[in-house]
Amino acid sequence: MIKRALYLTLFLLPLLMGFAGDSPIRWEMILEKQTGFLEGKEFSTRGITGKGIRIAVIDAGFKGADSHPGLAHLFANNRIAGTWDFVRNQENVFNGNPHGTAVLSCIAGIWDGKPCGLAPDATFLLARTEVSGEPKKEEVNWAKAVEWAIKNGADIIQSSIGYTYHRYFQEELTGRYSIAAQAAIKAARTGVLLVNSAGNDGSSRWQTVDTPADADSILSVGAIDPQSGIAAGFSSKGPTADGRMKPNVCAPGTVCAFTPNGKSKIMGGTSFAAPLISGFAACLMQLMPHASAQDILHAIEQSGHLYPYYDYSHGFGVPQASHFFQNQTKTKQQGNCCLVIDTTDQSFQVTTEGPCQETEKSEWSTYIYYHISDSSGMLRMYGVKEFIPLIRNNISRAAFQKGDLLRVFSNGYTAEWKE
Amino acid sequence: MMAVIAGCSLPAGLQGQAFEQTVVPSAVMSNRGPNRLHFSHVYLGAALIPPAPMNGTGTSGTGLSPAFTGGLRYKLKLMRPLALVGEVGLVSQGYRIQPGSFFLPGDTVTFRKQTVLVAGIDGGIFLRLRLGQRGNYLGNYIDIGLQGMMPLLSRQITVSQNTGSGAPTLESEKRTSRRLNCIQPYNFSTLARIGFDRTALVISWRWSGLTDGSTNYDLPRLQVGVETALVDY
Repeated sequence: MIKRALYLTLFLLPLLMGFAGDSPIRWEMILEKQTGFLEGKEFSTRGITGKGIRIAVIDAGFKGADSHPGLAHLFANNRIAGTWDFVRNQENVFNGNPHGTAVLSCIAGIWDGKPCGLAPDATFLLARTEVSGEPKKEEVNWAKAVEWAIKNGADIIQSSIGYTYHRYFQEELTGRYSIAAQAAIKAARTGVLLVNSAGNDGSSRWQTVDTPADADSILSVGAIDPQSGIAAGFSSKGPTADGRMKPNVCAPGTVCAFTPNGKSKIMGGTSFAAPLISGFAACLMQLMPHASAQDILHAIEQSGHLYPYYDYSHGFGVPQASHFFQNQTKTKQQGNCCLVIDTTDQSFQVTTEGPCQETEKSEWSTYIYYHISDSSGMLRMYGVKEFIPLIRNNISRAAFQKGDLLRVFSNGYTAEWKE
Repeated sequence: MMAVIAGCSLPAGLQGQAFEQTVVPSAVMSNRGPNRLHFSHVYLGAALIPPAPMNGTGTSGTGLSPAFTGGLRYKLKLMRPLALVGEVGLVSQGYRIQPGSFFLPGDTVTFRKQTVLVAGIDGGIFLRLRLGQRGNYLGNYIDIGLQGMMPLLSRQITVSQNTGSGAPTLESEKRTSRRLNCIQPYNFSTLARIGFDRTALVISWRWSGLTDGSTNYDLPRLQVGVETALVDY
C-alpha cells in the first residue's frame, strides 16, 4: 500500500510541480522568461516602457482585444490611435482571427500585474490584412497596411506574418522580389523600423525565412526555446537566397499570450518572439529619441548576447537591455585571450586559458557556439554544444575546407582559427 | 580537482550537442518540387460508384458501391500553367449487387447480399492546367486524361439466407467465387480531377466494358470521389 502510494506520488509529483501542461508554475516561469531573457527589468525599473512610441501591428485580426482585461489600459488611456481592416475595408479589427490579440499582448499586455511585453505604455495602430488561403490579395493588403502605418506616423511596424511556398520559390526570397519585401524596404527607407517574425518553417521542407523577413534593413526575429535558451526547432533559418544573414536577432518563442476570451495561454512561434523585440525597440527609441530607425536596428543587433558572433538560426542572439546602461556587467571580448583553439586531423579542440575576465552567469554560459564560414564569409555550418571550461571541447572538422574560418563563442568571448 | 582534469580531452559523446545545422545555399536548389520541373508523390483516394439500373429495365441492378485507390503520381512541368501527369497505382472496386438482380448468368437464387469485387493495377496520363498563384506548392489545378485498369483479382461474394425445412444450422451462408471469367483483362476510363492543393475531387467515366457481355448487365461506369496527395511542404 505504501509502495503504491509512493509510486503514485512519484508519478503525480511532476504534474503537481507543474512540469506538464499550462500549469501555474510553468506558466509563471514562461511569463518571467519572455521578458527576462531580454532583461526587461533594466528598462522597466528606469521607467522606460515605450511611452510616446507609436507601434503599428499588422496581423490577421484582433478578436477580443477590445474586451481583454490585460489590454484594457490601452483602451482606457486612448492609446489605440487607429485601426483599419484591409480585408473588409472597415474600422473594426476586433473580429476574425485572434492571432493579433496574442501578438499585441506580447508588446503591451499586463497579466496579474506582470508585463507580458516590454512596451505597455506605447501607442498602437492596428491593421488586419489576412484572409484564408494565402492569396495574392493578402500580400497586397500587407503592403497597403505598411503604407497606412507610415502615413499614420508609426515609429515601428510589428508584423508576425510571412509568405512562403504558397506564393514563392525559395530562390526568389532575395529581399527584393516579393511584394511584401518591396513594401518592407519602402518602410525602412522612410525611417520606420520594421520588425518581422522569421517564420515557423525551420522543421519543414522550406526551412528558410519567410518574406518579408528576407528584406534588408528590417529586423527579422527568430525564436529560442526558453527552456534551453537556444534556437527553437520550428524557427525559420537563414540565410536569404542572396546569402544575407537572417534572422537578425532572436527572442523567446514560447510565451504567455492573450486569448480572445479574456484569458491567457502558453503559445509558441516566432510570431510571439517578434513583438517582444518590437517592445524592446520601443524602449530603445524612448531611451535614444534622436536615433534613426536604422541606428536602433544596429543597436539591437549589437546588444545581442552573441554579438559579434552570429549564425543563421540565432542571428546575433537575444538582445540584452543591460548593454545600453553604463553599469553593464557583461563583457564581450574578441581574440584568443581566453578561448584557445587547438586542432587535430579529426577535430578542433576548444578550451579556456586564463586569465579570463569574470562574466556574469547567464542562460548561455554553459554553451559553446561555433560556425565554419567559407572564404566569402558564408556560413558552411554552425552549431551549439555544451561547454566545459578547462577541458578540451571537441568540434568536428569534417565540414572544414581549405580557406575556411572557424569561429567559436562562449560566455562573452570569441576566438577564430584559420589554416 | 579542476587542476587534475584540466587539459584533458572530453570524449565526443559526453559533450552534449545541443544543435547543429548545415547550410544549404539557395543556389543549389533542386529542380524537384511541387511546382518545379519534376515532382512525384503518393496519393490515396476513395470514391463512390452511384447506383445503376440493369440494362433495359428500370430496376436497380447495383447499389451505391465503394472504390479505393492509391499509388504514385509523377508530374513533369511543361510550362508555367501546364504539366503532364502520369500515375501508377492499385485500385479496388466493390460493386454491391442489389437483391433480386441476377448479375451472373445462371444465378437463380436471390442472395441477401452480393458483392462483385474487382481489384487491380491502374495507370493514367493526364494534362494538368494549373490555376491561380504560382508558389512552390500543388496549387489549384484541373487534370484531364485517360486511365486504364488491369484487373488482377475478381471475386463474387454472396451471402444467402438459409430458410426452409432442409436448411443447415447456420443462419446464412457466405460463398466466394474467385477469378470470374466474365471480367475483361483491361478497361479504360476518362478522368477529370479538380485539385485544391492536397485535396482533389475526381470524376471518371469508364467507356469500355468491365465485363465481356456474358453477364446479365454491365457494372456502373461512373465514379465520383476524393483524393489526397501526400505532400510535405
